[in-house]
Amino acid sequence: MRGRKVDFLTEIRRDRLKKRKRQPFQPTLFARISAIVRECRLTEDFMARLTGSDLRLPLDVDRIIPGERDPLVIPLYSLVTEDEYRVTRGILEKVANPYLAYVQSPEDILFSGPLFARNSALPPDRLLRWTFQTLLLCELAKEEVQRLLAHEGKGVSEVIQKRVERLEAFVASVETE
Amino acid sequence: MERLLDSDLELVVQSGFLYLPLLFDPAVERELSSAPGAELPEAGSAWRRERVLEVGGRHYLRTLRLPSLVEAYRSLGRSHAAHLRRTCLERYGVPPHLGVGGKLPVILFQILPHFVRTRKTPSRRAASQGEILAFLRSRFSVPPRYLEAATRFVDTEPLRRLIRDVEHSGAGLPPPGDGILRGRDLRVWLLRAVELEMMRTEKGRLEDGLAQRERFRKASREDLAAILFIADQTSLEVEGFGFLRDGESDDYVIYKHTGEYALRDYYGRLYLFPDCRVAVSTRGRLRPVVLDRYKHPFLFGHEAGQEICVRQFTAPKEFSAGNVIFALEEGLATLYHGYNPRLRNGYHSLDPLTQLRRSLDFTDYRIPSDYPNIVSRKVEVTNART
Repeated sequence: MRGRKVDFLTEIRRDRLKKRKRQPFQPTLFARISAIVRECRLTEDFMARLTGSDLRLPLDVDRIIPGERDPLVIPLYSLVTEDEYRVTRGILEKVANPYLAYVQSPEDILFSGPLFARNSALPPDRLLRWTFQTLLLCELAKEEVQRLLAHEGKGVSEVIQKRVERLEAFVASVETE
Repeated sequence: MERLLDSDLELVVQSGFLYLPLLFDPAVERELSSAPGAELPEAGSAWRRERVLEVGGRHYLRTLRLPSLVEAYRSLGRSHAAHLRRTCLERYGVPPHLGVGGKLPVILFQILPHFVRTRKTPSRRAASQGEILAFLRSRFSVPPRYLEAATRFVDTEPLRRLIRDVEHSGAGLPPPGDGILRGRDLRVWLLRAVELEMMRTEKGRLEDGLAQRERFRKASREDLAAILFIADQTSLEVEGFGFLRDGESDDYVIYKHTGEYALRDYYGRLYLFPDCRVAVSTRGRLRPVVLDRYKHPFLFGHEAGQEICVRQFTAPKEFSAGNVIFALEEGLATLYHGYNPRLRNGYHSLDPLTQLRRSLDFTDYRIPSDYPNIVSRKVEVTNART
Protein backbone atom coordinates (compact mmCIF):
# COMPACT_ATOMS: atom_id res chain seq x y z
CA MET A 1 0.00 0.00 0.00
CA ARG A 2 2.83 2.35 1.00
CA GLY A 3 4.87 1.51 -2.12
CA ARG A 4 1.87 2.19 -4.33
CA LYS A 5 1.38 5.59 -2.71
CA VAL A 6 5.00 6.52 -3.52
CA ASP A 7 4.50 5.41 -7.12
CA PHE A 8 1.40 7.53 -7.37
CA LEU A 9 3.24 10.60 -6.05
CA THR A 10 6.14 10.01 -8.42
CA GLU A 11 3.69 9.74 -11.25
CA ILE A 12 2.06 13.05 -10.33
CA ARG A 13 5.46 14.73 -10.15
CA ARG A 14 6.48 13.29 -13.51
CA ASP A 15 3.24 14.50 -15.10
CA ARG A 16 3.65 17.97 -13.67
CA LEU A 17 7.25 18.16 -14.86
CA LYS A 18 6.13 17.15 -18.32
CA LYS A 19 3.46 19.82 -18.31
CA ARG A 20 5.90 22.43 -17.07
CA LYS A 21 8.38 21.72 -19.84
CA ARG A 22 8.40 24.64 -22.24
CA GLN A 23 7.39 23.99 -25.80
CA PRO A 24 8.85 26.26 -28.48
CA PHE A 25 6.20 28.57 -29.87
CA GLN A 26 5.37 27.80 -33.46
CA PRO A 27 3.67 30.36 -35.66
CA THR A 28 0.39 29.11 -37.08
CA LEU A 29 -0.09 28.10 -40.70
CA PHE A 30 -2.16 31.25 -41.12
CA ALA A 31 0.78 33.39 -39.91
CA ARG A 32 3.15 31.65 -42.38
CA ILE A 33 0.91 32.01 -45.42
CA SER A 34 -0.15 35.56 -44.54
CA ALA A 35 3.53 36.52 -44.19
CA ILE A 36 4.16 35.30 -47.75
CA VAL A 37 1.03 37.06 -49.00
CA ARG A 38 2.11 40.32 -47.41
CA GLU A 39 5.79 40.05 -48.35
CA CYS A 40 5.12 39.16 -52.00
CA ARG A 41 1.94 41.27 -52.26
CA LEU A 42 -0.12 38.38 -53.58
CA THR A 43 -3.55 39.19 -54.94
CA GLU A 44 -6.59 37.34 -56.24
CA ASP A 45 -4.64 36.69 -59.49
CA PHE A 46 -2.45 34.28 -57.61
CA MET A 47 -5.57 32.33 -56.62
CA ALA A 48 -6.32 31.88 -60.31
CA ARG A 49 -2.88 30.34 -60.79
CA LEU A 50 -3.63 27.87 -58.01
CA THR A 51 -6.71 26.62 -59.80
CA GLY A 52 -5.07 26.81 -63.22
CA SER A 53 -3.99 23.96 -65.44
CA ASP A 54 -1.25 21.52 -64.51
CA LEU A 55 2.14 23.06 -63.87
CA ARG A 56 4.74 22.05 -66.38
CA LEU A 57 8.37 22.07 -65.35
CA PRO A 58 10.91 21.59 -68.15
CA LEU A 59 13.34 18.90 -67.12
CA ASP A 60 16.33 20.36 -68.94
CA VAL A 61 19.24 18.31 -67.67
CA ASP A 62 21.86 20.87 -68.65
CA ARG A 63 20.16 23.74 -66.86
CA ILE A 64 19.00 22.15 -63.62
CA ILE A 65 20.60 23.86 -60.63
CA PRO A 66 19.44 22.79 -57.15
CA GLY A 67 18.01 25.90 -55.48
CA GLU A 68 18.32 26.47 -51.75
CA ARG A 69 15.96 28.72 -49.85
CA ASP A 70 16.16 32.34 -48.77
CA PRO A 71 15.05 32.53 -45.14
CA LEU A 72 11.56 33.95 -44.57
CA VAL A 73 10.81 35.85 -41.37
CA ILE A 74 7.47 34.71 -40.02
CA PRO A 75 5.84 36.87 -37.33
CA LEU A 76 4.66 35.16 -34.17
CA TYR A 77 1.21 36.68 -34.62
CA SER A 78 -0.29 37.98 -37.79
CA LEU A 79 -2.90 40.60 -38.50
CA VAL A 80 -3.54 41.40 -42.15
CA THR A 81 -5.77 43.66 -44.19
CA GLU A 82 -9.09 42.39 -45.43
CA ASP A 83 -7.75 41.76 -48.96
CA GLU A 84 -4.69 39.93 -47.69
CA TYR A 85 -6.89 37.91 -45.36
CA ARG A 86 -9.13 36.89 -48.27
CA VAL A 87 -6.12 35.72 -50.32
CA THR A 88 -4.65 33.87 -47.33
CA ARG A 89 -7.93 32.11 -46.61
CA GLY A 90 -8.25 31.19 -50.29
CA ILE A 91 -4.77 29.65 -50.34
CA LEU A 92 -5.44 27.70 -47.15
CA GLU A 93 -8.69 26.35 -48.57
CA LYS A 94 -7.38 25.46 -52.03
CA VAL A 95 -3.95 24.14 -51.11
CA ALA A 96 -4.71 21.80 -48.27
CA ASN A 97 -1.68 19.55 -47.95
CA PRO A 98 0.82 18.96 -45.11
CA TYR A 99 3.70 20.48 -47.09
CA LEU A 100 2.07 23.90 -46.76
CA ALA A 101 3.63 24.08 -43.29
CA TYR A 102 7.08 24.34 -44.96
CA VAL A 103 6.41 26.80 -47.78
CA GLN A 104 8.45 29.98 -47.88
CA SER A 105 7.55 31.57 -51.21
CA PRO A 106 4.62 31.80 -53.65
CA GLU A 107 6.37 29.23 -55.90
CA ASP A 108 6.50 26.82 -52.97
CA ILE A 109 2.75 27.24 -52.56
CA LEU A 110 2.21 26.51 -56.26
CA PHE A 111 4.45 23.43 -56.28
CA SER A 112 3.40 22.03 -52.90
CA GLY A 113 0.31 20.27 -54.35
CA PRO A 114 2.07 18.45 -57.24
CA LEU A 115 5.00 17.62 -54.96
CA PHE A 116 2.75 16.09 -52.31
CA ALA A 117 0.90 14.16 -54.99
CA ARG A 118 4.17 12.63 -56.25
CA ASN A 119 5.87 11.98 -52.92
CA SER A 120 4.01 12.41 -49.64
CA ALA A 121 6.86 11.13 -47.47
CA LEU A 122 9.58 13.74 -47.86
CA PRO A 123 11.49 14.36 -44.61
CA PRO A 124 11.03 17.82 -42.98
CA ASP A 125 14.73 18.77 -43.16
CA ARG A 126 14.70 18.29 -46.94
CA LEU A 127 11.49 20.35 -47.22
CA LEU A 128 13.11 23.10 -45.20
CA ARG A 129 16.37 23.12 -47.14
CA TRP A 130 15.33 22.97 -50.81
CA THR A 131 12.81 24.96 -52.76
CA PHE A 132 9.74 22.97 -53.69
CA GLN A 133 10.61 23.49 -57.35
CA THR A 134 13.92 21.68 -56.83
CA LEU A 135 12.19 18.87 -54.94
CA LEU A 136 9.55 18.55 -57.64
CA LEU A 137 12.25 18.46 -60.32
CA CYS A 138 13.97 15.77 -58.28
CA GLU A 139 10.79 13.68 -58.24
CA LEU A 140 10.32 14.25 -61.99
CA ALA A 141 13.96 13.27 -62.57
CA LYS A 142 13.44 10.02 -60.67
CA GLU A 143 10.35 9.25 -62.73
CA GLU A 144 12.23 10.10 -65.93
CA VAL A 145 15.13 7.80 -65.02
CA GLN A 146 12.73 4.93 -64.36
CA ARG A 147 10.88 5.60 -67.60
CA LEU A 148 14.03 5.78 -69.68
CA LEU A 149 15.50 2.62 -68.20
CA ALA A 150 12.21 0.70 -68.60
CA HIS A 151 11.69 1.92 -72.15
CA GLU A 152 15.18 1.24 -73.44
CA GLY A 153 15.57 -2.14 -71.71
CA LYS A 154 19.06 -3.60 -71.85
CA GLY A 155 20.32 -1.89 -74.98
CA VAL A 156 20.69 1.68 -73.74
CA SER A 157 22.12 4.13 -76.21
CA GLU A 158 25.02 6.34 -75.23
CA VAL A 159 22.93 9.54 -75.31
CA ILE A 160 20.26 8.05 -73.06
CA GLN A 161 22.94 6.69 -70.76
CA LYS A 162 24.44 10.16 -70.43
CA ARG A 163 21.04 11.72 -69.65
CA VAL A 164 20.30 9.08 -67.04
CA GLU A 165 23.67 9.72 -65.38
CA ARG A 166 23.05 13.41 -65.21
CA LEU A 167 19.55 12.98 -63.80
CA GLU A 168 20.86 10.54 -61.20
CA ALA A 169 23.62 12.97 -60.24
CA PHE A 170 21.01 15.72 -59.74
CA VAL A 171 18.82 13.42 -57.62
CA ALA A 172 21.84 12.40 -55.56
CA SER A 173 22.85 16.04 -54.95
CA VAL A 174 19.38 16.80 -53.56
CA GLU A 175 18.84 13.60 -51.57
CA THR A 176 22.29 13.28 -49.99
CA GLU A 177 22.74 15.60 -47.04
CA MET B 1 0.61 58.48 -37.53
CA GLU B 2 2.79 60.27 -40.06
CA ARG B 3 2.85 57.14 -42.23
CA LEU B 4 -0.92 56.97 -42.09
CA LEU B 5 -1.28 60.62 -43.10
CA ASP B 6 1.18 60.17 -45.97
CA SER B 7 -0.56 57.09 -47.36
CA ASP B 8 -3.38 56.55 -49.82
CA LEU B 9 -5.08 54.23 -47.35
CA GLU B 10 -8.86 54.48 -47.37
CA LEU B 11 -10.24 55.66 -44.03
CA VAL B 12 -13.80 56.33 -42.98
CA VAL B 13 -15.07 59.31 -41.04
CA GLN B 14 -18.38 58.93 -39.28
CA SER B 15 -19.90 61.20 -36.62
CA GLY B 16 -16.55 62.86 -35.93
CA PHE B 17 -14.74 59.57 -35.41
CA LEU B 18 -11.95 58.16 -37.52
CA TYR B 19 -12.40 54.54 -38.58
CA LEU B 20 -9.36 52.60 -39.78
CA PRO B 21 -9.42 49.41 -41.87
CA LEU B 22 -9.95 46.45 -39.56
CA LEU B 23 -7.04 44.01 -39.52
CA PHE B 24 -7.94 40.37 -39.72
CA ASP B 25 -6.90 37.02 -38.39
CA PRO B 26 -9.08 33.93 -37.94
CA ALA B 27 -10.08 34.99 -34.40
CA VAL B 28 -11.22 38.43 -35.60
CA GLU B 29 -13.22 36.87 -38.40
CA ARG B 30 -14.84 34.45 -35.96
CA GLU B 31 -15.73 37.36 -33.71
CA LEU B 32 -17.28 39.28 -36.60
CA SER B 33 -19.36 36.41 -37.87
CA SER B 34 -20.19 34.75 -34.56
CA ALA B 35 -23.65 33.28 -34.36
CA PRO B 36 -26.31 34.80 -32.07
CA GLY B 37 -26.30 33.25 -28.64
CA ALA B 38 -22.59 32.68 -28.64
CA GLU B 39 -20.38 34.28 -26.00
CA LEU B 40 -18.79 36.56 -28.56
CA PRO B 41 -20.65 39.72 -29.57
CA GLU B 42 -23.28 38.96 -32.13
CA ALA B 43 -23.34 40.36 -35.64
CA GLY B 44 -25.99 43.05 -35.11
CA SER B 45 -25.18 43.90 -31.51
CA ALA B 46 -24.54 47.36 -30.14
CA TRP B 47 -20.86 46.48 -29.76
CA ARG B 48 -20.63 45.87 -33.49
CA ARG B 49 -22.67 48.93 -34.39
CA GLU B 50 -20.50 51.22 -32.30
CA ARG B 51 -17.06 49.93 -33.07
CA VAL B 52 -17.10 48.19 -36.43
CA LEU B 53 -18.45 49.78 -39.56
CA GLU B 54 -19.09 48.05 -42.85
CA VAL B 55 -18.66 50.31 -45.88
CA GLY B 56 -18.58 48.91 -49.41
CA GLY B 57 -18.09 45.37 -48.16
CA ARG B 58 -15.08 46.34 -46.07
CA HIS B 59 -14.82 46.55 -42.31
CA TYR B 60 -13.51 49.57 -40.45
CA LEU B 61 -12.72 49.89 -36.76
CA ARG B 62 -13.48 52.99 -34.71
CA THR B 63 -10.26 54.56 -33.41
CA LEU B 64 -9.91 58.26 -32.58
CA ARG B 65 -12.18 61.25 -32.17
CA LEU B 66 -11.03 63.79 -34.72
CA PRO B 67 -11.20 66.77 -32.30
CA SER B 68 -9.00 64.78 -29.87
CA LEU B 69 -6.50 64.20 -32.66
CA VAL B 70 -6.39 67.96 -33.32
CA GLU B 71 -5.88 68.70 -29.61
CA ALA B 72 -3.11 66.10 -29.26
CA TYR B 73 -1.30 66.96 -32.48
CA ARG B 74 1.02 69.48 -30.75
CA SER B 75 2.26 66.73 -28.44
CA LEU B 76 2.39 64.04 -31.13
CA GLY B 77 4.59 65.97 -33.53
CA ARG B 78 6.33 68.65 -31.47
CA SER B 79 8.84 69.81 -34.06
CA HIS B 80 6.25 69.85 -36.84
CA ALA B 81 3.78 71.70 -34.60
CA ALA B 82 6.45 74.34 -33.79
CA HIS B 83 7.13 74.79 -37.51
CA LEU B 84 3.40 75.05 -38.16
CA ARG B 85 3.07 77.74 -35.46
CA ARG B 86 5.88 79.79 -36.99
CA THR B 87 4.27 79.54 -40.42
CA CYS B 88 0.89 80.50 -38.99
CA LEU B 89 2.26 83.53 -37.14
CA GLU B 90 4.04 84.69 -40.28
CA ARG B 91 0.88 84.31 -42.37
CA TYR B 92 -1.24 86.36 -39.98
CA GLY B 93 1.62 88.77 -39.21
CA VAL B 94 1.53 87.97 -35.48
CA PRO B 95 4.87 88.79 -33.76
CA PRO B 96 6.27 85.87 -31.71
CA HIS B 97 6.90 88.26 -28.78
CA LEU B 98 4.59 91.07 -27.84
CA GLY B 99 7.12 93.25 -26.08
CA VAL B 100 7.15 93.12 -22.30
CA GLY B 101 6.55 89.92 -20.37
CA GLY B 102 4.50 89.82 -17.17
CA LYS B 103 7.44 89.33 -14.81
CA LEU B 104 9.68 92.13 -16.05
CA PRO B 105 7.57 95.03 -14.65
CA VAL B 106 7.54 93.27 -11.25
CA ILE B 107 11.32 92.97 -11.30
CA LEU B 108 11.86 96.54 -12.45
CA PHE B 109 9.32 98.39 -10.33
CA GLN B 110 9.06 96.27 -7.20
CA ILE B 111 12.20 94.17 -6.69
CA LEU B 112 14.86 96.49 -8.07
CA PRO B 113 13.97 99.47 -5.77
CA HIS B 114 14.38 97.19 -2.75
CA PHE B 115 18.03 96.51 -3.54
CA VAL B 116 19.08 99.65 -5.44
CA ARG B 117 18.81 103.23 -4.25
CA THR B 118 17.03 104.92 -7.13
CA ARG B 119 16.87 108.40 -5.54
CA LYS B 120 19.67 110.57 -4.30
CA THR B 121 17.84 111.72 -1.16
CA PRO B 122 16.31 109.19 1.22
CA SER B 123 12.51 109.18 1.33
CA ARG B 124 9.82 107.12 3.04
CA ARG B 125 7.70 107.18 -0.09
CA ALA B 126 8.23 104.31 -2.51
CA ALA B 127 9.83 105.32 -5.79
CA SER B 128 7.34 105.79 -8.63
CA GLN B 129 7.67 104.00 -11.96
CA GLY B 130 8.70 107.25 -13.59
CA GLU B 131 11.48 107.79 -11.04
CA ILE B 132 12.77 104.25 -11.46
CA LEU B 133 12.78 104.55 -15.24
CA ALA B 134 14.51 107.93 -15.04
CA PHE B 135 17.15 106.33 -12.84
CA LEU B 136 17.57 103.46 -15.30
CA ARG B 137 17.77 105.83 -18.25
CA SER B 138 20.60 107.67 -16.47
CA ARG B 139 22.53 104.38 -16.29
CA PHE B 140 22.39 103.40 -19.96
CA SER B 141 21.50 105.05 -23.23
CA VAL B 142 18.45 103.80 -25.08
CA PRO B 143 19.02 103.53 -28.86
CA PRO B 144 16.69 105.82 -30.89
CA ARG B 145 15.02 102.90 -32.65
CA TYR B 146 13.31 102.03 -29.33
CA LEU B 147 11.58 105.43 -29.41
CA GLU B 148 10.02 104.44 -32.72
CA ALA B 149 9.18 101.04 -31.27
CA ALA B 150 7.47 102.79 -28.32
CA THR B 151 5.28 104.77 -30.73
CA ARG B 152 4.25 101.56 -32.46
CA PHE B 153 3.76 99.84 -29.11
CA VAL B 154 1.10 102.24 -27.84
CA ASP B 155 -0.75 102.12 -31.13
CA THR B 156 -3.07 99.22 -30.32
CA GLU B 157 -5.05 99.32 -33.58
CA PRO B 158 -2.86 96.82 -35.53
CA LEU B 159 -3.14 94.39 -32.62
CA ARG B 160 -6.91 94.82 -32.47
CA ARG B 161 -7.08 94.21 -36.23
CA LEU B 162 -4.98 91.11 -35.80
CA ILE B 163 -7.32 89.80 -33.09
CA ARG B 164 -10.29 90.43 -35.38
CA ASP B 165 -8.53 88.53 -38.21
CA VAL B 166 -7.80 85.62 -35.94
CA GLU B 167 -11.39 85.62 -34.68
CA HIS B 168 -12.70 85.49 -38.23
CA SER B 169 -10.29 82.77 -39.31
CA GLY B 170 -10.79 80.66 -36.20
CA ALA B 171 -14.53 80.22 -36.50
CA GLY B 172 -13.92 76.48 -36.20
CA LEU B 173 -13.50 73.84 -38.84
CA PRO B 174 -16.21 71.20 -38.98
CA PRO B 175 -15.02 67.58 -39.21
CA PRO B 176 -14.83 66.23 -42.75
CA GLY B 177 -18.11 64.83 -44.02
CA ASP B 178 -19.06 61.24 -43.25
CA GLY B 179 -17.66 58.78 -45.75
CA ILE B 180 -14.47 57.42 -47.20
CA LEU B 181 -11.37 59.60 -47.03
CA ARG B 182 -7.78 59.00 -48.09
CA GLY B 183 -4.87 59.45 -45.64
CA ARG B 184 -3.50 62.42 -47.60
CA ASP B 185 -6.90 64.17 -47.59
CA LEU B 186 -7.11 63.67 -43.84
CA ARG B 187 -3.70 65.35 -43.47
CA VAL B 188 -4.95 68.44 -45.33
CA TRP B 189 -7.96 68.70 -43.03
CA LEU B 190 -5.92 67.96 -39.90
CA LEU B 191 -3.29 70.63 -40.62
CA ARG B 192 -5.98 73.23 -41.24
CA ALA B 193 -7.75 72.26 -38.01
CA VAL B 194 -4.48 72.37 -36.01
CA GLU B 195 -3.70 75.77 -37.52
CA LEU B 196 -7.06 77.15 -36.42
CA GLU B 197 -6.62 75.65 -32.96
CA MET B 198 -3.23 77.36 -32.71
CA MET B 199 -4.69 80.68 -33.74
CA ARG B 200 -7.33 80.34 -31.03
CA THR B 201 -4.50 79.98 -28.49
CA GLU B 202 -2.67 82.89 -30.07
CA LYS B 203 -5.78 84.98 -29.71
CA GLY B 204 -5.52 84.67 -25.93
CA ARG B 205 -1.90 85.76 -26.09
CA LEU B 206 -2.78 88.70 -28.32
CA GLU B 207 -5.50 89.80 -25.90
CA ASP B 208 -3.03 89.68 -23.01
CA GLY B 209 -0.61 91.77 -25.07
CA LEU B 210 -3.36 94.26 -25.81
CA ALA B 211 -4.24 94.60 -22.12
CA GLN B 212 -0.56 95.18 -21.35
CA ARG B 213 -0.29 97.89 -23.98
CA GLU B 214 -3.34 99.59 -22.54
CA ARG B 215 -1.59 99.65 -19.16
CA PHE B 216 1.53 101.29 -20.61
CA ARG B 217 -0.45 103.82 -22.61
CA LYS B 218 -0.07 106.56 -19.99
CA ALA B 219 3.72 106.14 -19.74
CA SER B 220 5.90 108.67 -21.57
CA ARG B 221 7.48 107.69 -24.85
CA GLU B 222 10.98 107.79 -23.32
CA ASP B 223 9.95 105.59 -20.40
CA LEU B 224 8.27 103.11 -22.71
CA ALA B 225 11.35 103.06 -24.96
CA ALA B 226 13.47 102.27 -21.89
CA ILE B 227 11.14 99.39 -20.90
CA LEU B 228 11.18 97.97 -24.45
CA PHE B 229 14.97 98.28 -24.52
CA ILE B 230 15.29 96.43 -21.20
CA ALA B 231 12.80 93.77 -22.37
CA ASP B 232 14.99 93.20 -25.41
CA GLN B 233 18.11 92.61 -23.34
CA THR B 234 19.12 89.13 -22.23
CA SER B 235 20.76 90.56 -19.10
CA LEU B 236 20.86 93.78 -17.14
CA GLU B 237 22.85 94.88 -14.11
CA VAL B 238 22.55 98.08 -12.07
CA GLU B 239 24.45 98.81 -8.86
CA GLY B 240 25.05 95.18 -7.94
CA PHE B 241 21.52 94.08 -8.77
CA GLY B 242 20.66 92.40 -12.03
CA PHE B 243 18.80 89.74 -13.90
CA LEU B 244 19.38 87.29 -16.75
CA ARG B 245 16.57 86.22 -19.06
CA ASP B 246 16.05 82.47 -19.30
CA GLY B 247 16.06 81.92 -23.07
CA GLU B 248 13.03 83.25 -24.95
CA SER B 249 10.66 82.63 -22.07
CA ASP B 250 9.26 85.07 -19.51
CA ASP B 251 11.49 83.57 -16.80
CA TYR B 252 14.43 85.33 -15.21
CA VAL B 253 17.35 84.67 -12.91
CA ILE B 254 17.39 87.63 -10.50
CA TYR B 255 20.59 88.21 -8.59
CA LYS B 256 22.34 90.50 -6.14
CA HIS B 257 26.08 90.83 -5.65
CA THR B 258 27.34 90.17 -2.13
CA GLY B 259 30.42 92.36 -2.46
CA GLU B 260 33.46 91.55 -0.35
CA TYR B 261 32.85 90.65 3.30
CA ALA B 262 34.81 89.01 6.08
CA LEU B 263 33.95 86.23 8.54
CA ARG B 264 35.60 85.50 11.88
CA ASP B 265 36.53 81.97 12.99
CA TYR B 266 36.65 80.39 16.48
CA TYR B 267 40.10 81.87 17.19
CA GLY B 268 39.13 85.36 16.00
CA ARG B 269 41.04 85.08 12.74
CA LEU B 270 39.54 86.82 9.73
CA TYR B 271 38.65 85.35 6.33
CA LEU B 272 38.00 87.64 3.37
CA PHE B 273 35.23 86.27 1.10
CA PRO B 274 35.23 87.50 -2.51
CA ASP B 275 32.21 88.92 -4.27
CA CYS B 276 29.63 86.52 -5.70
CA ARG B 277 26.10 86.68 -7.05
CA VAL B 278 23.25 85.28 -4.97
CA ALA B 279 20.41 84.47 -7.33
CA VAL B 280 16.82 83.25 -7.48
CA SER B 281 15.29 81.76 -10.60
CA THR B 282 11.65 82.51 -11.33
CA ARG B 283 11.31 79.06 -12.89
CA GLY B 284 10.11 76.65 -10.21
CA ARG B 285 10.58 77.21 -6.49
CA LEU B 286 12.37 80.38 -5.45
CA ARG B 287 15.58 78.93 -3.92
CA PRO B 288 18.63 81.12 -3.28
CA VAL B 289 21.74 79.84 -5.10
CA VAL B 290 25.20 81.18 -5.87
CA LEU B 291 25.69 81.85 -9.58
CA ASP B 292 29.49 81.85 -9.50
CA ARG B 293 32.02 79.25 -8.40
CA TYR B 294 32.16 79.85 -4.68
CA LYS B 295 32.99 78.28 -1.36
CA HIS B 296 31.45 79.08 2.00
CA PRO B 297 30.60 77.16 5.18
CA PHE B 298 26.95 77.12 4.06
CA LEU B 299 27.69 75.72 0.60
CA PHE B 300 28.33 72.02 0.18
CA GLY B 301 31.06 72.20 -2.45
CA HIS B 302 33.18 74.65 -4.37
CA GLU B 303 31.36 75.17 -7.64
CA ALA B 304 28.82 77.37 -9.43
CA GLY B 305 25.06 77.06 -9.08
CA GLN B 306 25.01 75.63 -5.54
CA GLU B 307 21.94 76.04 -3.38
CA ILE B 308 22.62 77.96 -0.17
CA CYS B 309 21.80 76.01 2.98
CA VAL B 310 19.32 78.34 4.69
CA ARG B 311 17.97 77.39 8.12
CA GLN B 312 14.21 77.09 8.63
CA PHE B 313 13.47 78.26 5.13
CA THR B 314 10.81 76.89 2.79
CA ALA B 315 11.37 78.06 -0.75
CA PRO B 316 8.23 79.91 -1.94
CA LYS B 317 6.43 78.41 -4.93
CA GLU B 318 4.78 81.51 -6.34
CA PHE B 319 6.52 84.30 -8.13
CA SER B 320 5.88 87.65 -6.46
CA ALA B 321 8.06 90.61 -5.57
CA GLY B 322 7.79 89.80 -1.86
CA ASN B 323 8.77 86.15 -2.32
CA VAL B 324 11.77 86.96 -4.53
CA ILE B 325 13.00 89.64 -2.11
CA PHE B 326 12.51 87.23 0.81
CA ALA B 327 14.47 84.42 -0.91
CA LEU B 328 17.31 86.75 -1.96
CA GLU B 329 17.52 88.34 1.48
CA GLU B 330 17.60 84.93 3.16
CA GLY B 331 20.41 83.77 0.87
CA LEU B 332 22.45 86.94 1.44
CA ALA B 333 21.84 86.91 5.19
CA THR B 334 22.99 83.30 5.41
CA LEU B 335 26.27 84.09 3.66
CA TYR B 336 26.85 87.25 5.73
CA HIS B 337 25.59 86.29 9.17
CA GLY B 338 24.83 82.55 9.14
CA TYR B 339 28.20 81.29 10.32
CA ASN B 340 28.65 81.10 14.09
CA PRO B 341 32.36 80.63 14.96
CA ARG B 342 31.62 79.03 18.34
CA LEU B 343 29.11 76.53 16.92
CA ARG B 344 31.04 76.01 13.67
CA ASN B 345 27.63 75.48 12.01
CA GLY B 346 27.06 74.83 8.31
CA TYR B 347 28.64 72.18 6.10
CA HIS B 348 32.19 73.29 6.84
CA SER B 349 34.25 74.98 9.55
CA LEU B 350 36.44 77.99 8.77
CA ASP B 351 39.25 76.86 11.10
CA PRO B 352 40.58 73.42 10.13
CA LEU B 353 39.30 70.62 12.33
CA THR B 354 40.84 67.17 12.76
CA GLN B 355 42.24 65.52 9.66
CA LEU B 356 39.55 62.85 9.78
CA ARG B 357 36.71 65.28 9.13
CA ARG B 358 36.40 66.18 5.48
CA SER B 359 36.02 69.87 4.99
CA LEU B 360 36.77 72.59 2.50
CA ASP B 361 39.92 74.56 3.21
CA PHE B 362 39.45 78.31 3.79
CA THR B 363 43.05 79.16 4.74
CA ASP B 364 43.57 80.87 1.37
CA TYR B 365 40.89 83.42 2.41
CA ARG B 366 42.66 84.23 5.68
CA ILE B 367 43.71 87.89 6.16
CA PRO B 368 45.52 89.68 9.01
CA SER B 369 43.43 91.62 11.51
CA ASP B 370 45.05 94.88 10.36
CA TYR B 371 44.03 94.30 6.75
CA PRO B 372 43.62 97.83 5.24
CA ASN B 373 40.03 97.41 4.03
CA ILE B 374 39.01 96.04 7.43
CA VAL B 375 40.68 98.87 9.26
CA SER B 376 39.13 101.44 6.92
CA ARG B 377 35.74 99.63 7.29
CA LYS B 378 35.41 99.19 3.56
CA VAL B 379 34.96 95.51 4.24
CA GLU B 380 32.74 94.54 7.13
CA VAL B 381 33.15 91.53 9.41
CA THR B 382 29.59 90.30 9.08
CA ASN B 383 29.57 87.64 11.82
CA ALA B 384 31.30 89.73 14.46
CA ARG B 385 28.25 89.65 16.77
CA THR B 386 27.29 85.98 16.43
